[in-house]
Amino acid sequence: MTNRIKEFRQEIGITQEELASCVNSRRETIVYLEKGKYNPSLRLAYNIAKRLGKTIEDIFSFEDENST
Amino acid sequence: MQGGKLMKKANIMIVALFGLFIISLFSLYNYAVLNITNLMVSFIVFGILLVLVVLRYSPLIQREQDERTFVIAKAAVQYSWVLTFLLITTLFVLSILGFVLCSNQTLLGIVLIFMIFSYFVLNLVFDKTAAIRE
Repeated sequence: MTNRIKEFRQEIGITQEELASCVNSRRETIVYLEKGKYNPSLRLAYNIAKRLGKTIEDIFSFEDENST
Repeated sequence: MQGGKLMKKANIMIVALFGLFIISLFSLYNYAVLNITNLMVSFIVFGILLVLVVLRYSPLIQREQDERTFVIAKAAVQYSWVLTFLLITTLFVLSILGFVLCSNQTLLGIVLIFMIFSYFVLNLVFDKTAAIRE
């Protein structure tokens, strides 16, 4: 799963800390999300999308590993 | 609304704890072992559980809300349990073969300390290495 959180976050000019506090999370979680090392729950994904003013599909894209 | 629900849960937990405490006292009385030591142990256990319930459900205490923290803690507990079961099995086999001879108290101490220690270490490792991908 890849995401564009960093890109959209920088677009609206907020820091990782600010985004984390908006979605009731820790900055480390946002760091790992941006690095693609952690997959969020649907609730967290929804909250992040809402804060960034995008849809979940805009931010997260799932690449099926089995597809050819 | 959320606070009211939490308080209701907390009240139910406290009543349940008190009920268990009374049952434990009755059972101690029935088995004629209601001495001061057992009574003190019952009070201490009841007190610890009461403090835990209050800490868990108090609306005044700001609790951790980060989901990754919960995911890591859950994984650390699971891995810790598995490792502890492996340790118990290993000690059991070694004791059957006669390589290890220790009392029940020592064995229980080793298991409990290993369980708690491994939980904290695994929590730290998962947090730093981002090994858990929920």
